[in-house]
Amino acid sequence: MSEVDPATELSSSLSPQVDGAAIPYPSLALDPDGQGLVGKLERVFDGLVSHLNPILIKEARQSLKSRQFLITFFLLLTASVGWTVIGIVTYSPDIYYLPSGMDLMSGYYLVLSMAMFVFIPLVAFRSLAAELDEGTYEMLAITRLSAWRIVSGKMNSACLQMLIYFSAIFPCLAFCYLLRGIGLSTIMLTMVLVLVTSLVLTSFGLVLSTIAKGRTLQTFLLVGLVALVVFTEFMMSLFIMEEVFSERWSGTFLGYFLPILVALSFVVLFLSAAASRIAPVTENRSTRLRAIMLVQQVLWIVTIVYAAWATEEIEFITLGMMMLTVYWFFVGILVCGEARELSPRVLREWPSTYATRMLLSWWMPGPGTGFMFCLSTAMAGMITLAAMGLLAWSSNVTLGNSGTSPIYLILLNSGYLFGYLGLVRLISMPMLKRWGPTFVPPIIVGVLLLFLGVVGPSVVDVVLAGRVSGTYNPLHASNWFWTWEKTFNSQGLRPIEVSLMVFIVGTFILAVNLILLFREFKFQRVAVPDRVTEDKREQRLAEAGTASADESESVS
Amino acid sequence: MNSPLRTPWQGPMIELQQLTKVFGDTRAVNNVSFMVPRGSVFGYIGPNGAGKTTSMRILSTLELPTSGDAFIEGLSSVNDPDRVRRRLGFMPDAFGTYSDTNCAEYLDFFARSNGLVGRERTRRLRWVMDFTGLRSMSEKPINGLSKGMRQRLCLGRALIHDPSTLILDEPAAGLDPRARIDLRQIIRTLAADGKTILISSHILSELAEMCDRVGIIERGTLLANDTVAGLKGKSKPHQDLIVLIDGDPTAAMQVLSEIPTVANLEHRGQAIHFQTGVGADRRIEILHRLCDARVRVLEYRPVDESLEDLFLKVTTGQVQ
Repeated sequence: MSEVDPATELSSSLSPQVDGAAIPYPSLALDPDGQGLVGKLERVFDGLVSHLNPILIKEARQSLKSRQFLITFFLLLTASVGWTVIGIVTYSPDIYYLPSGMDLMSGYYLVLSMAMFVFIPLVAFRSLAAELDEGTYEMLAITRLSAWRIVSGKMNSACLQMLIYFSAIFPCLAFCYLLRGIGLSTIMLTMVLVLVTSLVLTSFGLVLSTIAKGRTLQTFLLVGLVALVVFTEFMMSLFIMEEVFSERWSGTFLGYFLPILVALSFVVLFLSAAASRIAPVTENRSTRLRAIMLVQQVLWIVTIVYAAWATEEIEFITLGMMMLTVYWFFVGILVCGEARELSPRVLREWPSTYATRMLLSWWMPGPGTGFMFCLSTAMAGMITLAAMGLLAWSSNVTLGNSGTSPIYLILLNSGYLFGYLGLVRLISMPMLKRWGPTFVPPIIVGVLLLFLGVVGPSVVDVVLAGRVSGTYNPLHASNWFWTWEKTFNSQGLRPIEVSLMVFIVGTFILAVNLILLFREFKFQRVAVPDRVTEDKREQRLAEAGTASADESESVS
Repeated sequence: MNSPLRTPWQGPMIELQQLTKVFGDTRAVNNVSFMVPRGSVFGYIGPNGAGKTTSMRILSTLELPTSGDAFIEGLSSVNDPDRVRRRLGFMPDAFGTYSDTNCAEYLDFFARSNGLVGRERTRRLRWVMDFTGLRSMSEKPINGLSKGMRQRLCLGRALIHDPSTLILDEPAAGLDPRARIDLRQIIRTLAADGKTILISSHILSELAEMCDRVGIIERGTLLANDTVAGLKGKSKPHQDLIVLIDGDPTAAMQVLSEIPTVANLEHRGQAIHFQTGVGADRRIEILHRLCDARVRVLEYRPVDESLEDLFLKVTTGQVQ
């Protein structure tokens, strides 16, 4: 379209003038034809900033003007300076010759963690929740910003705030180091732990905000987030004061590095989950999440194997397998709530040949494919861990107090996963058919089944013996946690019997599920519409045209 | 963005194909189909709760239909929302704004969000500010803007990436007469510039002036879809006429009552209203008869039916 005519036509009536003089353009709009060094610098700077996420730019502008941010920032500054003054006054004149950095560091940690664990996650939660609640998200949704960019923009803006808070406290940390009594690496590790914890909480806050539809649920979730934040503040303070400040961590670099990587993988997972929640339902919202979860599993296995190797305790392998079972059970419950019907857009990417369908369908959206993905990935993880356990077993590595073979553990855990997850899927299937895709029924069914698994045998005990039995027997095999505890401690039962029983029942439930899975296996790839292919070509041409225009502009 | 390398789409710019949206027990949109060709303005009218906003939201990729599909430039807003969004500017009836943000920052943000960079972004920003008359307000916080200015800002946001299709949901709602006239002028200019516009409004007289075609929707069902003239032709087989007489109308009433094609004769003062089933070419004969009877006719003209009248005739006023 012509860019001049309509404006010219309307300029007399619509573009206001003051005393005959044209009103200047806003300072935001750089002069497109600016000459000289300033013009060039402005364009270069603008070019660099253009690569940043627009949400980050918007939120940075907003934050710098917001009273909320200014108050928090000055509170942080005041508290840090105040703590410094109190420290100097308290320790004087010993401060000149006694190492007192550790005591001051505790105060700085608390001040910083309040801002990082409390303020930033809550602001991020509120920021995205407000977008969804007040209708501004819809304006964002119809731009070119993808759901991932919107969520990562919110995260970037939180990171920027973290950076500002870090920079505010940095002089205090330097002062603390100069006072001696605390190592530079301890200070750095503390800051890394604060940063990672804040990132995890913030990303979790963003996921919660996408669930918070309506004021009531939003308030409820906000209260939940506040409780989590307070709990984390307490636990992290305890951990940092006890473990990090006492410098017991020296020499276990990987011991910290790997869990930090696992924590960071949760940040990516939460962000992707939040993006999937707000993305259009016709898009493929599952494959990325599944890929992240697979990476998480790899990181988890490496962490566990390293822990077992470093401590020579095979219990870590057992613990790792249990954690994997719990993790995939929880993920499996959520996956069961995915939409059964796939949009043509998803089916365009569906594997086309028999062989690729066999291998890749599990990565595609759908409750059945998701169910199989969870089970197969969990099995792969458990087999890897068991193999490591067997290797350790055969190498006579210290077994701690665990005498249970990893083979039994694999049978037991996979049996539980097949059985419980399979039942959740079977029971919630008709509900999902009635109410459409939602993860509420599978969660309720999952919780109820776990509850019944514990209470059911006790009820039978009461009926048969008139009281709840305090002794474990195979009847209690449905009680996941008790069985684990007994197997783990190898007390009063033969693990092979219970493991086999659980595995056989679980496999039977899995077989029933497999029959129902064939529906999803019958999905066929659909052709990409001609109009979309044509549009892709047009877009490529347009982009090539823009690139060459930019090149010629810069040459001139 | 429009590019010289792109060949324009030859089909309809907006198309609804048997679009249905069900909310619980309510069919908000019921099997609605229509097309809007390039460069035309389509007025979408209906009472509150008729399904206008729902259809517009589906077209704008903000809602999914229960069945059917909606297309912008041949691309499905259900399956290819990202491609549709590049071509679409949507102005909702109510929109949220950001606190601590001024007009320039708001538009700049949406320019960036639509992928505009460098000089192109600056040019578009300037153009939109000039076009919507927001330049003098650029540094003003959005929350301090009047309703009219906020509507302009929202229109500016919808125009920032130079979309080929605009969907405007009640853009004139709550505006004062001057702001309405300005907005009408803006929409006319955009239409003249080749934009395809789907507009809903309660101010039907304005729509009649702007729109090439009009669709009337009630209780989710599209009741009519035609040009304003076409709708008028369809809505009644008879033409209403008015004759203004100098003096006593009794003689004129007598003459007219003797003409077989004249019906529903009545007079108010010196004005006589009647209906005739004959075409425009034969209506002159009625005037001749009056003149032959020495009736002094001051004025003789058809009574034009307004879009409001048509709307009232087509719709029943029932809500879901």
